[in-house]
Amino acid sequence: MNGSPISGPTRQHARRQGQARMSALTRVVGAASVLGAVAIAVSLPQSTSVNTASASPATTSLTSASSGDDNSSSDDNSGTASSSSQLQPSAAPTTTTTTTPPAATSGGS
Amino acid sequence: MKATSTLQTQPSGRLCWANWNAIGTAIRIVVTDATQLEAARAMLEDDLAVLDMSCSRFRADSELIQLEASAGRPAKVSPVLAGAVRAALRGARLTDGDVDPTLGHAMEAIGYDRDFVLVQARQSRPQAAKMRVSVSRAASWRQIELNEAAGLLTVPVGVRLDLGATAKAWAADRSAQRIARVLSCGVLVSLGGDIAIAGDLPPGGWSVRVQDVTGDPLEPTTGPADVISIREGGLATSSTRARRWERGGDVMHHILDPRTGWPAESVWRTVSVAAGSALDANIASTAAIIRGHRATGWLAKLGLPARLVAVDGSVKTVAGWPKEVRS
Repeated sequence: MNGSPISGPTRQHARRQGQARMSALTRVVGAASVLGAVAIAVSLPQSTSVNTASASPATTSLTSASSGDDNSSSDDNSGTASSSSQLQPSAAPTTTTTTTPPAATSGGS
Repeated sequence: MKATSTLQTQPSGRLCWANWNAIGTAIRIVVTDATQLEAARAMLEDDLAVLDMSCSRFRADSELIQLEASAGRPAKVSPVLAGAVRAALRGARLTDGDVDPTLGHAMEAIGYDRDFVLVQARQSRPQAAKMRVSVSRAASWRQIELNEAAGLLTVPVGVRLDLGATAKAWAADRSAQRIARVLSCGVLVSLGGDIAIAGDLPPGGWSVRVQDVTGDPLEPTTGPADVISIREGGLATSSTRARRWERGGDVMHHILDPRTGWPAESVWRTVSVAAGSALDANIASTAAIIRGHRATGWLAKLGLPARLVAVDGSVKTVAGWPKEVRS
């Protein structure tokens, strides 16, 4: 008894179609993976530290801009210092002509 | 220990300030509103007490020292210690390790193993002849893991953190902003010369005299000095002229070259930097001492106004630091 109502050529055609679909799907998934990897790489900071001890996705040495301190510092709440990839400049100091003593001194300590 | 402070008002009546000693250094707070001085001082004292309990290398009961019992495993830490470590790691990352928080044992090996007043007292005792210390590094700062969201810090076995280079500046930024926000006035916080400003500006900005060693603004200083005005961020000075002591026939200072574990032999004796925060200013000034001749180009490239005093006292300025020198 012939258990298949579908002829041999038709099965081969269907198989080829299925293979073609799988191949196209594979290409799409592959391309998406590459794009995803590129997106992740682009989104990473330039100077991400390499944690050689044990890398955990939830653990970062340096790049987190989150603030765990509600008292917040310039490094916490300015949004620049902790997240920036370089030291942040300020306006240059100016000479002062006041005759009163300075408010403070800055030297080694 | 409760700080002893003095409260004074400038003759013009515009600024008033308090001075005291805490966390092993000279503390100064200046506010633009005299009615807020006591409150501002109390807030800063509270912040510094917490900082000391969290980050001191000289207290057996500090969180930093207790952390070593975790022997390389993740340990729960307070937000203050986590923030100070984050600041230190920022310094290491942005200077390629020139400002390194893992030098605690190296610092102890050269004799800075207790409050600096005690280090100075000890140096008067007879010392052995010339000594050399060899310090082997247990691990890199890159192996420190900080997960602030979970409040977890992992320090490799054998590493003793020394947050001294950056913690004061980080704390100055943090306190200045908090005090200005709560009291709605202008504030200058100086922790050993690491200066952060926040809130209203006094007329003409905040005037600061940069010099080799932090001192009383009302007292004259020796050596090259310059009075400048800042209007934002912070200012920090690093100097090999401060925190010096003798050990085994060598004159030591507290800025270590992480490559040698030994006091940096810099071409600069004092470097002052203005930056967006006291923390960044401190990172830059500390790294500049260690980088020597390479520092000027590096600071200029980053656009960080700086004043560098060579060992012979000659002064070089970069990135817009005013050239006029006053004393």
